[in-house]
Amino acid sequence: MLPANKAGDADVVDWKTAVCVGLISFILPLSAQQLPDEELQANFSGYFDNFQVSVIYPNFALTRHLSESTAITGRYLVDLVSAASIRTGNSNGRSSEGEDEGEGESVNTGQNVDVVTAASTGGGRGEEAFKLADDVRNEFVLGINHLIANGNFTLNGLYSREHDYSSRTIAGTISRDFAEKNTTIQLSFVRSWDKVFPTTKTWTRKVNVETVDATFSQILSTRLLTQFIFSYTKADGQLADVYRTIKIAVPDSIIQYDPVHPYNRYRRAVANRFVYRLNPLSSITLGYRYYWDSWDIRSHTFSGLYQRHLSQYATLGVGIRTYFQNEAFFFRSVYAAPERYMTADSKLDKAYSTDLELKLTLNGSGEQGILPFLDNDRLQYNFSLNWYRRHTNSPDWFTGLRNLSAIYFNVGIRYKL
Amino acid sequence: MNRIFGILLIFTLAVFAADAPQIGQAAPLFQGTALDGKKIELSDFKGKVVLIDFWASWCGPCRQEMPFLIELYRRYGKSPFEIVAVNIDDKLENAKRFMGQLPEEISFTIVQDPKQQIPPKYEIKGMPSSILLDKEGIIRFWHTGFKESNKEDYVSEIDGLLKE
Amino acid sequence: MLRRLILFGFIFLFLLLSGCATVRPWHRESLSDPIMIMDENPIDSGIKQHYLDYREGSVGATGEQSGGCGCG
Repeated sequence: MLPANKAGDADVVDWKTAVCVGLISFILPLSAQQLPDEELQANFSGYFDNFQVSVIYPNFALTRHLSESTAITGRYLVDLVSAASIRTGNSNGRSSEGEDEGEGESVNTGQNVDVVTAASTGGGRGEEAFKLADDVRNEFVLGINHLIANGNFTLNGLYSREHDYSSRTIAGTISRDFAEKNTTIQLSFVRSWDKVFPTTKTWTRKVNVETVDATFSQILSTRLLTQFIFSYTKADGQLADVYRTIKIAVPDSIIQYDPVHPYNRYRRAVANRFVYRLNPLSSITLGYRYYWDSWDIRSHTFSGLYQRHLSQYATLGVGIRTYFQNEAFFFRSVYAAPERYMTADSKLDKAYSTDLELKLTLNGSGEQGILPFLDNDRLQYNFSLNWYRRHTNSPDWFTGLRNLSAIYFNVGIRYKL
Repeated sequence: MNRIFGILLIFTLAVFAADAPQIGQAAPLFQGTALDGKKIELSDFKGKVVLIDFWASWCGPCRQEMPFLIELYRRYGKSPFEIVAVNIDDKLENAKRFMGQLPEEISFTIVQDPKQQIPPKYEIKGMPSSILLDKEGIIRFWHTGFKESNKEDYVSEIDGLLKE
Repeated sequence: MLRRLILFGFIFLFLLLSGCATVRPWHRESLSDPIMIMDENPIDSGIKQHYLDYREGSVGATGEQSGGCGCG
């Protein structure tokens, strides 16, 4: 007997009530907050791992003030995913018996599919298709930030599109300061309407995501800040990636099945962070997050970041993050027979990971006179390099590897207008 | 459960009560050292309209306000008007670096207060805080923070105090 | 469960506000330093989180920028 989907209907929070209760706290006069600075920000980011996935991720953002109390932000990013990896050819997965996600009809489209990244080629057939999988996601964000009498309100709209997935998202945030700005409370709400239309299927299915966050920041002393964050996410719809397939051995053959995940997923997280000033030149940030969801995944995340001013122009940061999670209740390394829920997603396996970060911030100044590109007070350069390693209990279904190693970096520039 | 929510909410809100500024009272007196090393006392400016401004180089709105104060001081140069800008940077060099970046030199009085002894006398609620005193040294107007739209308020308030 | 968390959050908030020393606006110099701001570059943090979310099974509670300079 399979465990029922632990949606916990009785425990589903009336989050709307929670938000309203929180909003009532905002009806008090206090000193005004500030708008974000007017600036242009450009970042160029890349990710490369031994599962043969490469991602290039340029993005641009511009913030302008429309008035003293209103700012507008526009952002554009591109996710360019490629993987010089083994092609699986056409996907011929059968659907399993799952009721939640309907039928899983497969289509021989003649397209090459790279299931490592779930990236599919934009077109072409057979050998003439791209040697490198080519998945391009374009994302547009437009946001408005408005100072209201007692705080700050932001509203962002996001549209993201790739040839087998689209997303429309609205995100709203309200925040305000209390007690002479010693305390800041922020409430945010995100709602996404996504559509999935895999190239190997004939159907289009929906994914709905709703998230509510509450953040409490408190100044404890002239050297110590803390922050508590509570997050709740509800997702439903086509939550499985059907580019991946599950292979079940039967006498004399192997049958491939589409993964079937529960229709709903309820995800919760609580986190606490501290920033402590060690001395006039350096600080340390420590954080812990506990996560749990209705698929029985529990995780612990520990993080630390040490930052030090090397000079009045340069700041160095060194960070470490460790992560532990257990597997989803329906995860199996090998399925002996078809089950109601099945997955090939290594994200749902028992795993631990470590991430090491090195970052450098350079602030421009008319006085430094050393590097020409720094000769401007309005400029800031950011560089970061991360090394990431993840170990899963079971080998990845496609690469056969338990250990994933990745390098990712970001180079960014900020220019105050 | 709802009752507990309500009680906690009331308690939470009760903590947020803030003190009112002391308009109509005599401004607390203070003394300090100006940038040129001269000893300054607030009482030296009795008979003039005084704008006391608390600022620091690490405060963004303070940096935006400073050019306006320079413009104000130039505007009322021939009037019995004085600006006393109390700088609370821990290190004077940070304040001087910021002043060096300004397009114009500051000619009004800057009082150094690296130990932040003067702000507690006024219980300022934010940075910058600008307090206008009349010729008798009475607090008449109080501004916390700085916005471009407040500039006209400053001008009309100073005009009114100068006419008294 | 989440209701208990919200309750805990309010209790924590109340205790913090009523029990902790208030840092006055003129003592905020140290807190205005970028190395004391939790998410000084939210876009940069978001990019990194994007990669981690791609490889791990947890989301949420990763933080937002908070202020502390007492300005404004």
